[in-house]
Amino acid sequence: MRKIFAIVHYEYKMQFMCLAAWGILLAATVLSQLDNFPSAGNLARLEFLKEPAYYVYRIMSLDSLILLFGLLFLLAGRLPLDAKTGMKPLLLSSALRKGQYVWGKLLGGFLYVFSMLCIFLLLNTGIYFIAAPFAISLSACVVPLVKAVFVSVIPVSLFVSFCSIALPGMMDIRLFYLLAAVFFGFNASYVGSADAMPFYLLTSGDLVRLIWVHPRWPFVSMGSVAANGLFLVGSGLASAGLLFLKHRFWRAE
Amino acid sequence: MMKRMAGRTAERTAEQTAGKIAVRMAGEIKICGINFFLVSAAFTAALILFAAIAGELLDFYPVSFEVLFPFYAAIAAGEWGKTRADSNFDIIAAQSKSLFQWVLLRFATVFGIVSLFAVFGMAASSAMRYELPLAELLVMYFPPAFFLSSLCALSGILCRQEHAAAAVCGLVWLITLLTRSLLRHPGFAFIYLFIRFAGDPNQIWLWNKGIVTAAGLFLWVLLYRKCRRF
Repeated sequence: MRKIFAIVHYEYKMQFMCLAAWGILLAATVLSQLDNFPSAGNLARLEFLKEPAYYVYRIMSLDSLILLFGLLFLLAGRLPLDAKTGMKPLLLSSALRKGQYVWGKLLGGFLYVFSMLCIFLLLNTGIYFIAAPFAISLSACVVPLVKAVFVSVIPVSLFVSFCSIALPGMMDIRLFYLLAAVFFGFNASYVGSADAMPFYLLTSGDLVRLIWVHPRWPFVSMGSVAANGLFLVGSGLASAGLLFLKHRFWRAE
Repeated sequence: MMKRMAGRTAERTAEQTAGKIAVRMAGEIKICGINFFLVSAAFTAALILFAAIAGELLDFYPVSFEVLFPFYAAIAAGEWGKTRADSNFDIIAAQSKSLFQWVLLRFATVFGIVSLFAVFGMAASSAMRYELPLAELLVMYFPPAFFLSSLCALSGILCRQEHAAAAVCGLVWLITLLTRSLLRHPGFAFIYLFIRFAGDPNQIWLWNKGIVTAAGLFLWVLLYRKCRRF
């Protein structure tokens, strides 16, 4: 267990100090503020922007996609990089086991994506709370934020981190980028509707409807919510499982 | 007599230069490796299959050749045609006669091969579902592909970190997809990368393609200036 924690700590530290990730966070925040800042123009354009729950819902379902896509690119190199820099032979020569190495990498990546997403939501909601030209209670902002963390941030972080760390360990990284781009592009261009959303959406699936529900589309299908959650968690765990099944990835034990 | 000799010398020089470029391009293809061809072929095959099974409701050509293939061209230019992230970059920068020529040749090789795959994909898709002429598909594909790949090449020379160039292009690509609603502002349609995908509300797509190509060329001016500073 101590070895897993050591790898988690190292991964988290290395990723957290990466300047590119902070640049992506900054760019995503600027773009989300351009779209959602509670200015007179945006308040006139977006009907429900006065509701903090809608604001958190919108940030999570639309703008977090940019941050997640950027983090995916940065995380995708974690396993190939160890092989390229010669770290892997060093690790293989130590008493480290495959499970310890893989779980350390995956959990480090998960905690990192989770932290960045939480910082992104906190930062945006903080700006909204300070800049809104109308009175908002603190609890009106905190409640949807906590909901978003438990309902959406955890499964989305798990999906993005596990898939982007595990899959490039098994396939060509450019092919992974291409598949990820198709998936994210589909998510970005999918338009919301009153019906149940497809279960295979990342941030705009029915899970986010638990944060805020459109007054004209009050229907929330719990089956679709569960399917969306299962897809995100299941795909993440399945990617990790594939890495365990690949025998050539580690020495024979 | 003197004129003839001068003409022959010029011909020989041109042949030698062309030969050198061909040899260097062959070297670049070797550096790219087999995965480049396998992934490109798999992607093209997937698009052709998609063309066969996709229904008429889907706007297939803009999705495939204006949005997806240009992004693949950018990934290829950033990942297989990497420059500063190349482990031999310092040696090449110190010893090569012109760093810009090296960057341009590497870019041209990768971009050219991906574009050949794209043209093959267009021809095969058109054979199955003739909706647009090939020339129009080429005009639809080339400007966004050139712009995104050039952006990748520029990011590649600016950032030493591996995959950073692809990440920059990926973000630009996704942000462009997410900002489709900005087409409500007059003038934005002229610079929007995926104008046919967005439905071309003002019927100005040819102007748009020209501006995007010019923006791509401008990126090469920046790249040239950056290369001269090394």
